[in-house]
Amino acid sequence: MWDHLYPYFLWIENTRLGHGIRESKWTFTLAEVFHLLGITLFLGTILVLALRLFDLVLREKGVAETARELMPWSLSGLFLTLVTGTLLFTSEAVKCWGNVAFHYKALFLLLALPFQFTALRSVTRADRQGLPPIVRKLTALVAVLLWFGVAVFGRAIFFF
Amino acid sequence: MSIHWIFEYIDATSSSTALRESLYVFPIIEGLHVVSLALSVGLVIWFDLRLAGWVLKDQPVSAVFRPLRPFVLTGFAITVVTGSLLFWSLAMRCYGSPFFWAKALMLVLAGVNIAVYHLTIERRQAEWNAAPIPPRQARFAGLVALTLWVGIIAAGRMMAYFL
Repeated sequence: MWDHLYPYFLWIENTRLGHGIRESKWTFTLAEVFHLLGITLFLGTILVLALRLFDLVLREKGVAETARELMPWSLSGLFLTLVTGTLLFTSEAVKCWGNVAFHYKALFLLLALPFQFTALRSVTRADRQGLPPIVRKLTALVAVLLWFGVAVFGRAIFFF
Repeated sequence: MSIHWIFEYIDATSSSTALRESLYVFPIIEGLHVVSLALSVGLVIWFDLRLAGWVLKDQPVSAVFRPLRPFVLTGFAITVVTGSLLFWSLAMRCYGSPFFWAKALMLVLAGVNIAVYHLTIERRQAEWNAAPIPPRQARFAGLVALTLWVGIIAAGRMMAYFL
């Protein structure tokens, strides 16, 4: 499959945006900085929500209320990460194409994003409070594993 | 015995060289350092945000902090141990990096901020624990901490980029 995608990755890298980021050292570095800040903020909110679903923190506050309060921070962190991540990717798409760590990161991301907005969102909704604890805990655990998978393989891109 | 001498001494130890040149250990330590940020800084900012009076205002400050504490401490244990090992392996390159010194200064300031908070306004926490907006001095401590975490992460990332 990856062989067929090569022309697209090459095209992305050769866009004016890709060139621009590669040639400006500061744009790339600042994108790296804000990528990491976004990751820290976003993964932090995922952890707080998972700990809440495990009934380990904020037990006096409902799951739905906790999720609602975390949401703007969570989405801001995710938005910052995705925007800066797209910039970084655009500047070195061909390197990513041939990078096995990037392949796993892409796979985890393609699983984590829909899981976040279907399964995780649905178990934190107010009308789903009757769900057995095991379902809530499993959903939280899978979300944490998927997102940390994205982060670990993302960091590994550099070493391959 | 100057700081330069100490850094040079660390850099020349066989453990520093072994770590620097290791094929797998160094990337694993670096990966752990970065990913553990989510557990340490990613969680502690929720206490800082509560102190600043921005989130979870219907929860007492202690109800936010106490259950998070074991996870935050575990996170910081990993971040600090892996960070120290990274420093150990790259001591002389750290010495020459302005970002390393900026990060070190901000870490000291973060420690001072926490110490001042513990020794002053936290002593009277019973009086304002349930207040949606904590007193000015507590809000200030929260905002200083948040600012420093952003600066420390930024300096750390820049440092790694230019090493």
